[in-house]
Amino acid sequence: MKKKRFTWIALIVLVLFALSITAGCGGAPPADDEDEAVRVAIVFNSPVADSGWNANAWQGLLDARDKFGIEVAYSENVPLAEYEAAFRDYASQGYDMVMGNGFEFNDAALAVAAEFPDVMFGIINGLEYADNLAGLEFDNVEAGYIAGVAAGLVTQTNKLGFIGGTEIPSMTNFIKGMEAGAASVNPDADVIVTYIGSWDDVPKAKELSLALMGNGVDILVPFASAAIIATPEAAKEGENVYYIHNPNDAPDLHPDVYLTAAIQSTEMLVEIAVSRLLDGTFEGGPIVGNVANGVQDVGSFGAMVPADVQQQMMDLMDDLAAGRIALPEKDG
Amino acid sequence: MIETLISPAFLSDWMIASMRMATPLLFAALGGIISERAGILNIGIEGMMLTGALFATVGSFFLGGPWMGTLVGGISGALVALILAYMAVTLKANQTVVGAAINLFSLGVTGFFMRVIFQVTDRPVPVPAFGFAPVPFLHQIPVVGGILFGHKALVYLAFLLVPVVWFFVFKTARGLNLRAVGEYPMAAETMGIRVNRIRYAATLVGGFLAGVGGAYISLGQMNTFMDNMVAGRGFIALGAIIFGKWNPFGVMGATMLFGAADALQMRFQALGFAVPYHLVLMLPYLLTMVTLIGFGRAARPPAAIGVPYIKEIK
Repeated sequence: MKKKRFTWIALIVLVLFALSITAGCGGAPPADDEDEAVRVAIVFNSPVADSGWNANAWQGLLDARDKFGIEVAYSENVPLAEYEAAFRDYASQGYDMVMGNGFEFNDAALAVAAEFPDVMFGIINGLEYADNLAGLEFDNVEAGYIAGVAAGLVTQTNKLGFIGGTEIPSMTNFIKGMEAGAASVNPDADVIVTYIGSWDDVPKAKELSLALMGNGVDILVPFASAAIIATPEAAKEGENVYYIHNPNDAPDLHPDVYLTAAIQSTEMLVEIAVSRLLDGTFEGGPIVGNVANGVQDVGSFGAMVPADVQQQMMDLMDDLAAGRIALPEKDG
Repeated sequence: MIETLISPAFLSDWMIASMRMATPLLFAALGGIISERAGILNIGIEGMMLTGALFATVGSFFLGGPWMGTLVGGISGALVALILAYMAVTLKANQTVVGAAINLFSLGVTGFFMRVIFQVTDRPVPVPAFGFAPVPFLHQIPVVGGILFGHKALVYLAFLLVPVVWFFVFKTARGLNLRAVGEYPMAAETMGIRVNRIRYAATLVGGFLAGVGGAYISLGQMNTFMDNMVAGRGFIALGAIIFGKWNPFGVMGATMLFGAADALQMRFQALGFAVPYHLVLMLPYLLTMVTLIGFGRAARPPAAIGVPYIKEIK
């Protein structure tokens, strides 16, 4: 008897626990006191505090809140089946803009955007648009170009190594840019492209970096979070091997092997979307973050980067911002 | 291309990488041999490795050093194995289901504890990790010295464990008891062997070794923990156990084959060979299948594997 009761209690606790995880909606403030403030919400399908992808987007909204005085809210750990419901919830509560962090939210946003023509929707890395649905994306070709120029200027062996996750458009676009950038300053430089074949296999990313170094690569360009963690550790085991960080500036993280960073700021990208919402210029279609609008940039320089290279990089930023450089066309 | 591939520098670099990459598989698979020889199928190796990888970094960070970390990692693996043992031996639950549950559970729990213990930061927290520990004198032997004696300490430990586990399983009385429990527990029981006690012990030892394998990933290959960093190595270790026919030396060969194939595909990529990378990534698995066709004469698992032992009612 006793055992049975225990089983029941355990079951109930488990179910409650599971519910609290899946439905763990976060910092939505109660929507009772209606004031004039513009309200923006964002939906995540994993924890907001992931020290990366989600955290950056949420930070962008927090920055926008501090800067523009808007109200912000989020829902985290929302499962695929609940995307539409989450969007609909916020839209019907009178939020002015609802965002989803990732292209996987695209379909749900398309459906709900049609129901709420007065609410704006923004999907980060979104690929399909509507009149009130924008996709926020990075110009990965440009980011790759920045990395390629920096690597091409500094390399001694003329072998540059790229370490990606799996072959998807953001990767191939970055590679296109990297190859063009390297070739523009160093025709002898060779870009060697490698893929981990997974997104979280950190040790494999390190082994891949070591394999590249074994072939004489002296500048490593990791472009997947597993690789960004692993590659500098590999570089430390070599001599005169450096790496280019991404997506934030990180001169103090691995100073011995740090060359520079290809900055891609989700925070800025989100902030741009919010500022367009506020001044009434937000419209459906792509919102592309690049050097010109301050989303992308070159990072601080490592101690090994000569002054003339630093100057060349700063000039490159001016040229990119002014649109004086013809970048390769991007894939899909 | 061919000249590069047969140059001594390439070959020794490749073999060194193969040993590095075989090491976590070898720890986990040796542990798996012990538990499977006692009749406990440990599908949860992956989860135990992941738990070990996390708590190894915790131990190294708070208790000062990678060796303490490895110990803590091993113990944490054994604690997860205790769940399996309790469910499989005492409650006589389905071992496959429990193992699968352990894997899912560990993935979530490690992510949670990493964030709680190290706080949520925007960058991984580096902890004291293993450095290179070349064996004095021996590592200076040309070619072979570098391949065999230029590693981090846990790599030697993994390979030294192979004859130890082999001797234990096949040449000691306790090893005989272990095998008897896995083959025909009722007969073992009539001989006075305490079946469930041995199964508990074997599962815990298996979990400990899986945890050490995880510790090698976080402290030997890296110096930090990341979500799901074991990335399927536990399942490859499970395959290696079958491939190596529940024999430590066979399993060593199997893990070396996996390691070598993976190291080779990376070198193909790093040399910039104009082969589609999907094809290259397939290489380790392709090689495994081909080898299985060649050498895979019906491997016979321990007869009582996965079967709970229920005492006859007297």
